[in-house]
Amino acid sequence: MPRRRRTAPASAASAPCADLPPELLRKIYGRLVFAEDLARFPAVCRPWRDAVADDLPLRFPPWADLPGEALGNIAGRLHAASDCVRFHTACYKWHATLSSDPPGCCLLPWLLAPSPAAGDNAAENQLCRCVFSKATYRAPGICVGDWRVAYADGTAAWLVRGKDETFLANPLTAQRLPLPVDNAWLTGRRHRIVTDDDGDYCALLYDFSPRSGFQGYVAHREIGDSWLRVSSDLSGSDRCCAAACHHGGYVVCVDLANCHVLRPSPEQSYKKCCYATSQVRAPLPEEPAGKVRRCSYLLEYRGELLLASVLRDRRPGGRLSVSLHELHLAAGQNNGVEEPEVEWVRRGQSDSDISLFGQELLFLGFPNSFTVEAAGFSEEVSGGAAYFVVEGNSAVAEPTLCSMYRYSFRDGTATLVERLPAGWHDASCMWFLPEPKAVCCHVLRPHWVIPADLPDVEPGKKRQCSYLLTYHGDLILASLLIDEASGYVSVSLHEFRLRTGHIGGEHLEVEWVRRDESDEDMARLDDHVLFLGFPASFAVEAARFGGELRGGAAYFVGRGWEGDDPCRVGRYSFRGGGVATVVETLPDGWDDTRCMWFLPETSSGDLLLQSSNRGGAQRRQQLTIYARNLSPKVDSSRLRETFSVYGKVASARVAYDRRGGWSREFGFVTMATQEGYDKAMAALNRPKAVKKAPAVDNSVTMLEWFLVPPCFFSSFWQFFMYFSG
Amino acid sequence: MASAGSGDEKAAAAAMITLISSDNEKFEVTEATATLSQTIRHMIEDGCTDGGVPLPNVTSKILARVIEYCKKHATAAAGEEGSSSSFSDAAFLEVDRAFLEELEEFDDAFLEVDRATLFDLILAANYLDIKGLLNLTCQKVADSVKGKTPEQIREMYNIVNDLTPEEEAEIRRETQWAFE
Repeated sequence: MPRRRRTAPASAASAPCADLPPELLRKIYGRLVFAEDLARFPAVCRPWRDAVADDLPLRFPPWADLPGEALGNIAGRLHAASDCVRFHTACYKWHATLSSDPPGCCLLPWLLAPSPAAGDNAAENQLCRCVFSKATYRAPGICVGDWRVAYADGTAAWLVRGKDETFLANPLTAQRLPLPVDNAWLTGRRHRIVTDDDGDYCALLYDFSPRSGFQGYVAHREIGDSWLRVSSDLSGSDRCCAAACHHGGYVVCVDLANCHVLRPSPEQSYKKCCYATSQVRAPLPEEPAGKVRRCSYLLEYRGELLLASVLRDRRPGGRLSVSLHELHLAAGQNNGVEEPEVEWVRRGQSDSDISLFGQELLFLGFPNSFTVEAAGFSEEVSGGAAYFVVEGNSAVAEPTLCSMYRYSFRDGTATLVERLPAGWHDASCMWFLPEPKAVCCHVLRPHWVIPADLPDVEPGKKRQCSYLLTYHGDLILASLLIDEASGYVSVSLHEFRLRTGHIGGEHLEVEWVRRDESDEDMARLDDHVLFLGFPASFAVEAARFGGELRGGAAYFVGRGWEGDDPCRVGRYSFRGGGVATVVETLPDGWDDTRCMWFLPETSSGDLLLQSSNRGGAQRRQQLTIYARNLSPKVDSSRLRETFSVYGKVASARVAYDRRGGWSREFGFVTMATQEGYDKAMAALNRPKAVKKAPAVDNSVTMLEWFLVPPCFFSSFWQFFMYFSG
Repeated sequence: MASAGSGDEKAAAAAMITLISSDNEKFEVTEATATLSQTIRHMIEDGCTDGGVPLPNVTSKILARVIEYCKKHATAAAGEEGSSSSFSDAAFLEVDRAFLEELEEFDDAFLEVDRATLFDLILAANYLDIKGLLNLTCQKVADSVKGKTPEQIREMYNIVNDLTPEEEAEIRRETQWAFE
């Protein structure tokens, strides 16, 4: 690339670019990246413009409107966490794909630099780096000392200690994570490895120093809340490369020469703490001739414990390689005490192993190493490789920078991925996988805002106020209209409907349906009184007021045409072409029309029943049928119609919620004659229907109707057919 | 295979499908080519392809390119089937590998298009439900987005940033590390 750049000015001087063949120009044009470059290209000269004339005028397709599947597909191909986040920050539509389709992809792991010396409580920012996208992030000062927790599956957390509590946090987002084990113990040691497999947890906390040796605690599900103590001097080892908690309580440590298998004595493990640690020491598998072991890592892979050794050729500048061995612990006896025997099996060399590891990526780090399936990263990173960090040449006195290598098991070569930037002086870095769900913060916004106009007003009238109420399960817009010429007030009702439009159901349209014109609408309205107010309006069955208020009307508070007119309560009757009357002129102090209506609650039970009793006749009560399990769509007039088949109905009422106005799904029907009552009971009180003792009044007969989901009755007719047939 | 050859040819000749683009241009393709699209496959299964398959969302220019892709990949699919059923010797695998390489070259060349065409190809692949083509084109977009800041992505794709300043600030606060 640099070569091309250097020669460019010279060639521009000698050979005019304008005369390039059109195919070449088109090729160049096709490689342009930015929209503005594409726009400038045809403006350079005539031949350039002609070459791309087919594509002119330049189209800028609406990339923001790509279908969700395509956006999800693209996002799933971004494996660097920062790319993923930036992609979702381009615009809201691209951001919104997070809600329907959380990134199912794998994100490439990050490298966490070791913190400064143990116990250093300086507020040090922790260095994180995504080596694949060359991004470094300095996690703000939550990392005082070394409080990281490694999970066996590759994820990580930070132990955050507040004044009163200790909790775990996601290293990239600082979101809280659940504590798998008792937090008081987590703070006790410096290195923490946690396996959390759906509650089947296992935790190892430890410290190591050449002076005090290996000091640690183990907890796992089998032993419940207690912790087992594990300690060993590791036989004078000066370096503990890796430790792993494995197979129900074995703790395996490796240094550069030996492997130590530690286990608290089993017979004491049920006590609260156990101090006896049995220990088996075994040499690590021998290094191939001419190579020296630079580092050892332990990792779990499909239930096996693997040792990964980073080897370097002895000669100066020697090449790096990685060898894999599987650790077998065979049962053995030593002086009558059970002691496992350590056996190493070379892995990663046979054809079957190569094809097995060819699917995996090994991330070797400290304190925890892990494998990830390469398939998750599509083709960004090919499988069958191990990534590890080595320190620079230790022969040089000054602190040298670390380098990150990739070793391929297929061709057996290690390649330098990058030299880590300043600040990375220690090779005991930790890898961790960012969790896609946590990483991509999702800002919520209401899904749709559908712009819609209110229904048109008749000419000559003006909408003074709009109210919304639910009535018969529909959302109704009530508009208070004023005739501009005469000042007459009227109320119109429209039902609000959402209609799905053409484009894949994503497009919604608002539709208004007039609901105070047809005979059917008027019949329904007759039973109800509408109260229009702020913040809520509601409809009440007129029967509840025992004839005191007539149905088919709306009450509202309005003002005259003049601004300083007093507020008045008006009543608009929908019958007879619509008549508005003034109920009352409100006294002084009521100078805002935004009044609220409310129904006072009666203390002694059912308003409904009182009104029916007020009707008086004892005989009537005996003719009252209590009907329950009504569809919410059934209102009093429908109930009346149902029963009028059997005789004259004196009254039929559906009980409505006093405040919300919705049906309580039961009602009372009073038949006018004994004959009608008997007929209705005989016809409707089928074996399926259960006769029960009346709940409120002994003389009310209860009738339980067969329970049918409300949606079944999309229309009354269906309801009736089912009911009678 | 050989004995059934003439029968196959007959069946192939009979099973031609006519695709009609939005600008009413007609394209004759074999059933094997057309069924790379799940959408068309379902139409064929439902037996509603007589008199051509109208594709009102795809222009003739884009449909021609899509068919070019399908033709190439349909022969590839046929080749793979053949190899698994009758041949397995090394020589054939060698041929197979060469063919795969050729296919990869074809895909690379196929993607040498301007952004507007790429956009139309994604829409067409999505509408026609051609998995391979959708993956290929989406990968191209994903590759172009890698390592770019949101501002650069917007500039590249001519996207208007409709996130409110508050929303963008919230995203940036939660995911600081992605913006350093």
